[in-house]
Amino acid sequence: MSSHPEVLLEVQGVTVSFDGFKALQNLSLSVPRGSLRVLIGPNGAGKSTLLDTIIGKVRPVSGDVRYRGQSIITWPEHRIANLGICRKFQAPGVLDGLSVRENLRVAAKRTKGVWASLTRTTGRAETQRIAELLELINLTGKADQRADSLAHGEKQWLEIGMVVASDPELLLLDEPTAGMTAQETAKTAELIRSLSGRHTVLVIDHDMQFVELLDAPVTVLHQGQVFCEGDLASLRSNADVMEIYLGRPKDEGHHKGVGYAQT
Amino acid sequence: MNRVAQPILLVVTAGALLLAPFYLSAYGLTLLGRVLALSIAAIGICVVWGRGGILSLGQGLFFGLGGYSLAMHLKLAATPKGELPDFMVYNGVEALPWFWVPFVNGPFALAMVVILPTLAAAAVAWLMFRRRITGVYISIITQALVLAFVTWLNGSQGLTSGTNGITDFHTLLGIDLRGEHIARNLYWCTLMVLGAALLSTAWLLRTHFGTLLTAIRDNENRVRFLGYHPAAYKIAAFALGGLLSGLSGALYTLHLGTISPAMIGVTFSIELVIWVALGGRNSLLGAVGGLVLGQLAKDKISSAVPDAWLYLMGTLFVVVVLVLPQGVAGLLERRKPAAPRRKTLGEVSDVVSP
Repeated sequence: MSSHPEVLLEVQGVTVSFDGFKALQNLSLSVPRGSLRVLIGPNGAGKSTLLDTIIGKVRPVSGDVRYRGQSIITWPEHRIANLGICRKFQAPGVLDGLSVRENLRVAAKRTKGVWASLTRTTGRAETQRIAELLELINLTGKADQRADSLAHGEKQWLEIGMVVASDPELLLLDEPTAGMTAQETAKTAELIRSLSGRHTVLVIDHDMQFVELLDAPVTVLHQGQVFCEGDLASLRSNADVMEIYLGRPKDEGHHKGVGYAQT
Repeated sequence: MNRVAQPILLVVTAGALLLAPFYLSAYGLTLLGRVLALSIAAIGICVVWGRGGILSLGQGLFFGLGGYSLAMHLKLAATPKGELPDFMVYNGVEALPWFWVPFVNGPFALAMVVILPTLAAAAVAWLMFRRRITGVYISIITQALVLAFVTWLNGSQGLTSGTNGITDFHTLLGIDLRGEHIARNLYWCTLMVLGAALLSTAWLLRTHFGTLLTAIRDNENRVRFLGYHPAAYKIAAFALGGLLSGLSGALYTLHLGTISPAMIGVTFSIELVIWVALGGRNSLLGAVGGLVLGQLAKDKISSAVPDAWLYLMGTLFVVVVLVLPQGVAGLLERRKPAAPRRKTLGEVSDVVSP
């Protein structure tokens, strides 16, 4: 990895349409390698759709997504994932029927083919790495429990652990702290900050206190477009940005953030 | 079931099965052998449905391919050289149809017993899973396929002997099928194949492959976005289900001495699924046990009160689906922590949508 800033992900003029509704409108965004970037915006701004487009779950009607300079817009999802792009979903996407340890093992495997799944055994390095991850996400004591027996916050941690286990170059985290306590939120922020540099991280969140803890450049999305960019302090003093948010009183994520600030 | 009782029960059952030829009546032994042959197909359903979450209602198709592959050879072996099988003569067929020709060769036919159902299952699975067809559509498609196959068999009297099926077998690779000890040897042979199928499937499900099957069943999208290609895993599982069904069909044909479209149709395919559901689709031994006991009960009850059987089976299925989603095996394991939570179809497809 080079030390000078280099663009890892480039979203160029992407438009996504759901039955005529434009979820993204000619949106462009570029993410330098090793950076940490936060995406905020009111509900329906297109944040999750943008991540869906990057991982190939949603195909745009126009525009391009380039990764390391290569257009990946037509690639099948599993190949995009194998480039080193891993997404944590908004609703925790853990593998319910497997134990916590198995969840991490599925994510950590380097070889993804059917044949390898039959012949490769789990090596010592892998076992060691999974033990470290269990420690990191505070689930060592529950390693052999089924994932569906975990509390919501623990599932969030487990999925973050899975994303980290797959050791991607680009991490896409969709509301990683939803359902977490203030303490867990702070710990998540710390973890994400420690990941940036070696990894490139794109985080979506509503929780302003969490965004503050991340201390990273913020991009505001509004109605499927980039509204403005900057650090959190300058955005807070920006009347237009405040209007987007305050104009929508049902924005629960934001209020949750305010609530945490008092604890 | 606790850790001591289970191995003891297993050993006792295995011993009782091995020694069955010495204490069972001739009728009892044939019945048991036949049922054990069927239970090999149950292993396949356990993999495909229990672990893979793919409910196929058309396993009879692969069962039939295995059975007919063997039956074609047996029929040719029982036909004097230079002559045509009797049913072809009755139907005015003048030359051996092209797809019958290679089945003159015994080893080829035995290879086809395994290869044909496996390839057919892989092809069906490739068409379905590449298009990301899931849930109830899989059940409808597989059921339609078995129906089409049976309809074709019935309609092609001259090529397949139609509704009568293929029968009247004499020898297999030089072994006289009407010999004195054939029932006993065939029984042991079936037991061996069943044992091998059980052990190798159990091993397979313990590998990372087995883990991924469960993972894909529970959250296909999560697995896909971790870089796996779920369709490849589902195709492999479905092909294995086809292979086991084909083996089962061939052995069943040997036991019964005949195969006909009525034996492999929609009712048969659904019946297999019902017994697996009853025994426990997540447990290999549960699935096999459910099928064996169910078929034995069927033999007793359907000969005593033939009319009541279908109603009884239907009622059992409804009860299992409503009260015992993991079957009897699930009931026995219920004391373990964190009983599996059932997902609705909607949940399965929407897990990761925002």
